[in-house]
Amino acid sequence: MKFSLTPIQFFLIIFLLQTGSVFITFQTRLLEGAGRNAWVVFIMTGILHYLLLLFYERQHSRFLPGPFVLLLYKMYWIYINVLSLSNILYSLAIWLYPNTPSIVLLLFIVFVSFYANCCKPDTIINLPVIIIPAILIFFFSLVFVFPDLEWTWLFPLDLKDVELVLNGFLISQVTVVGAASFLFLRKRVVSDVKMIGWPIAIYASFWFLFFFMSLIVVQLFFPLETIAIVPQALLYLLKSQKVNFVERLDLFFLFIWMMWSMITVILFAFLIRLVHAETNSGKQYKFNLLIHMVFLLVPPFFATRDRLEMLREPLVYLHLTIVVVLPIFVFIKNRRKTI
Amino acid sequence: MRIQKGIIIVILTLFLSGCWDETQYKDLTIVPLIGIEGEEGDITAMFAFPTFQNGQIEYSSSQGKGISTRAARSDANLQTMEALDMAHLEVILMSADLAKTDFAPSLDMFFRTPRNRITSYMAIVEGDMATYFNPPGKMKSEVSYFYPELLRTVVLYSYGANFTLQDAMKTMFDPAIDLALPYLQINEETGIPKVVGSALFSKQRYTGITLSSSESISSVIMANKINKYARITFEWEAKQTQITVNVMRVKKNWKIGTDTISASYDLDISVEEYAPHNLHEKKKREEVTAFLETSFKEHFDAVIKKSQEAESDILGFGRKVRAFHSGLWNQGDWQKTYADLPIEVEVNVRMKLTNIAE
Amino acid sequence: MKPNIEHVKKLVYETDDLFVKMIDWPFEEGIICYFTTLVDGGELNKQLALLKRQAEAKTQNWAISAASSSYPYTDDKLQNLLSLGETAIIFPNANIIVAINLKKEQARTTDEPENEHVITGSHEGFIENKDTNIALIRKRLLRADFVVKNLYTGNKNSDIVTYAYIATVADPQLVKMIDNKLSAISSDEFFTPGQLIEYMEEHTWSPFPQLLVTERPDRVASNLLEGRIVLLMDNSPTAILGPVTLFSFFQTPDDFNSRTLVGSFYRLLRIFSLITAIFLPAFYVSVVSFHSEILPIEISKQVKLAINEIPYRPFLEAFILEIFIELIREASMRLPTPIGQTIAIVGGLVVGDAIVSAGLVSNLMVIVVAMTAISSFVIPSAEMNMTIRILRFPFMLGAALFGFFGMVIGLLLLFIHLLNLRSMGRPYFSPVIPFDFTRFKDIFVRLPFLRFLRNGKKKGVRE
Repeated sequence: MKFSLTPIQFFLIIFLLQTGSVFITFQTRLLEGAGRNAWVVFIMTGILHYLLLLFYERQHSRFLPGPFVLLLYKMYWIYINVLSLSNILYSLAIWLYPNTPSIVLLLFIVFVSFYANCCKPDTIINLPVIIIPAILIFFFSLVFVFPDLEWTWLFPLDLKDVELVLNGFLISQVTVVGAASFLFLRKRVVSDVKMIGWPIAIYASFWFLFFFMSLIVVQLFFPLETIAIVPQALLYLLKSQKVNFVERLDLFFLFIWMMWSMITVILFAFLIRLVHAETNSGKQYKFNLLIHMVFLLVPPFFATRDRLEMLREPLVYLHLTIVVVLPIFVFIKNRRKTI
Repeated sequence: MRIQKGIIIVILTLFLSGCWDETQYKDLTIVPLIGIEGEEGDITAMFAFPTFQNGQIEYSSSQGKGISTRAARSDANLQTMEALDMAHLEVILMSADLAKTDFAPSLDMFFRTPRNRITSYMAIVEGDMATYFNPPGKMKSEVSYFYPELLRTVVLYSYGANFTLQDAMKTMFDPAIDLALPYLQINEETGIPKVVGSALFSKQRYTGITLSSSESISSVIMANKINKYARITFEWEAKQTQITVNVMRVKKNWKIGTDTISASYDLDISVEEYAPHNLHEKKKREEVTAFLETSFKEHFDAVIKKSQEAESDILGFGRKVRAFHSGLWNQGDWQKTYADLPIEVEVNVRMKLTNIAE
Repeated sequence: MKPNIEHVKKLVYETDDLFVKMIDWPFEEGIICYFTTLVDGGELNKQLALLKRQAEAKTQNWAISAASSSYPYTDDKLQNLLSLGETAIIFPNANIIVAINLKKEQARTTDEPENEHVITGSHEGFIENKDTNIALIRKRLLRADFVVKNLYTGNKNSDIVTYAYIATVADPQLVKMIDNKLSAISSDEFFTPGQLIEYMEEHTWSPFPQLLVTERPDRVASNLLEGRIVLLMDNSPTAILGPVTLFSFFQTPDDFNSRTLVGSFYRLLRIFSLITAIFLPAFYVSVVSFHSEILPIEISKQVKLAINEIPYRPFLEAFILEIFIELIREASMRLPTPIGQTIAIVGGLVVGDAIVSAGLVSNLMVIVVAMTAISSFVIPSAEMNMTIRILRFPFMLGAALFGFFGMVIGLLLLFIHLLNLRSMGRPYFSPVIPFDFTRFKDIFVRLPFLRFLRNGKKKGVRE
């Protein structure tokens, strides 16, 4: 596949890959795990994320994974896609479509992804643009909530409880989920762009602002005692807003989020195809069809409460291996070779 | 060709199977008002709703009994034409007796069903729920229209604040603050429901103690939650006159010590009623201000006293205590601690406008 | 074999409107032939006299004049020349044809096109004569770099397609691509601009028009100045412009003749009408059949009152009305104007009112559908207008099946499709993707020209 990315396209894609699957659920989980420390814990994650990106940028030219490692990445992305599709299905079933068979909803979602993946790479890399207005709407509707926030809920902190902090830190790692794509897409960015310095710093801070703001808003809107009963806190938060022209902002937001997640699914499928095309030639169409069959058939099985939990449990650990450990391993291996 | 056939089959299946989650709006009855009474395990729910016949809106009501709110609703469904839909619920009335028990579970359904509206108002009524659905007095409008408007007025004139369903749930589950809901009685003269003040809650139960309506305004001012108007009238006995002021802006400053709290308030007010028109004199203005300061302090003290009596921290001192004064917070149950805490109130009044022409 | 009168007659299958006679010429006898229906005889005599004088003077290029030229003789060439309306003088011994181009033209006046009215600005329009059309463009572009190229397409080589561009502004690669594409056309059909568009488009099955069609010379001229290419055909007043973007279809010359604020307002209004025209019925259907909880309380009772006793599903209701509106539109278009208006009134008012009081359709649905129809008519381009009206049906279907979910799926598919589209190889969704902020603003507002000029000078636009 031939295409090249401008830095803006590149960062927009990475941003979507990192946010699409998790940004609606992670606040609740983090607050459950880390209590009022959540925001401090997340600042730590933010710094770490920045360092990780810097590290990736310095080392990316050494990132030459073998076929086995590539297979691991492909499996990992398929897993993430299955997870976020199950998540979409589960949320849709809870909020609006309890009676519709999930396979029917999924059929449409997967069809969109399949259609997009049949198009030229140019189309897919430009797809995230549709989300830009959504990001703005998202921020704007969060600003609505500001008068209702209770700022004393930032405290008291309990940083001495190391277990709580570590637990929270681990949970907050899900926000870094798509970061590995940096390594794969970096070489597609038009050369002679300097990433170290402002570009990465701006991106990392935007990423941080996005997640941090959504976290803070949730933390300051719901008392910690009720966090457990509002699994999709952001949606509840918008539901409680009164606007004149329409009730239930949350429904609109649910669909914005769904669109967001669907584009993420498309992008992950694209990444899988991209990585696949690097090692295998020919039969791209069949491979595309194959992965989309997987996306169609597997998620309905997981779209129940228990199974979704089961699917989500290993995410953090998988993510740490794939995003942090595996690249380091590959870098070291390649360094040995070059020396 | 295969793909085209596949697409045709998919489309045909869709048409044959139909729309699983369709809920036609014309098949629903929108319920703007619901009343709950009874006790946990034996709930009676009343619903008031408009019915639409021959291009006319008429109002009717229905009653259901069951072991939970949801069961009561299903029971009522059997007695109404179309299915009851809570998506446009505007007011939830709860009997004082139910509120005194552990009632949170019976509200949980309203709060957590995604389709339901969670910005509906909540209020406590005294006595039998049925009288509030069919008041003895002559009502000018239907109850399902009356209560929402009444409670909107309560918000607008600052007789109460934060009593929507979601605020109530949030406040109830936060140990550092307590709930106050509008309290309704049937007016004995007219036979029409009337807001007489706020019902004070401690933890998740109604204490049986209520604030009067002027105390309710004071409590809203003290929590700095005032809406468009916060009018309060004082009797000035020394001068044999009355004075009505509107609080425009509140600046509160709570200082929390190891075992005392001092709360100081700066109020910007405008004078709305004052018969001896002599406010153009500076001396008189100072005199009036001084009077207002003491009067406000009296009112505020009364609110504090009543809330301590009820062990109900409606102003939310606890939130600040929990965040920054863990020593005080950890003394034990906050509501008990609050009840015995000496609280000093200090009021500074600034007369910004005299809204009567001078 | 040397051509003679019989042979010429046979070449055109002995048609009776052929004039063919021997003619005396200074050095040999020639055969003059032309279609009497296409050639102006009086003018021809003057031209013949001129050529004769030149031939007597025995100059090298005696056959060349402002209206004549010479070719080596072949049967095909003769047929071709005759069918193009030229007069041919055949000299059998020298084996040449001298062709005189004196076409008798039947042309109407250059009136303003019916479907592209403007309030202020030029009221000229193209006619069925290509030369006149080019003249209309050229008089607006008095510059040497305005290039007109003729191409004979098809096997019979008789259909001329003309493309024109401004050499210093248009991208040379684009011009080359157009040239290749046009030359590759091999069809003997006498084709219409619609067929030509199909040859030029890359996505035949897309509902979106990928080339802009206009009958206004001022529109063509301003588009040429922006680097576009225009295709013209003889016998058709339609000019085809490309490459265009989706948003070109939402602009009219009126925008530039009105005041900045006013122009911007109407541009915004048109974008808004695009949204309502596609989504409003679908939105209404999904609200009343899936998501009634989003209705504000104040409206909910009215909505409920309106739809409570309608027997049909909202989708069917909407479908009935939409089809009805389309029928009225089609009927009033085909009928002569006065009757057409009557139909519109009868259809719109009388039947609309009756259908509501009969209880088949709710009055809210009438408002929704009427609003949608009006919105779609706001769009200046007739083709885009049709496209938008067709597009609302799949969205309505999606909404009837799944509510908002169906609409979101449709929206994504539409968006991906728009991203895929190319107009003459250029991205169709252009100022949005690839994103270009200065042009992006231009979709929504019309900025003052003075600023354009200043910006243009700074960036050093080729001029």
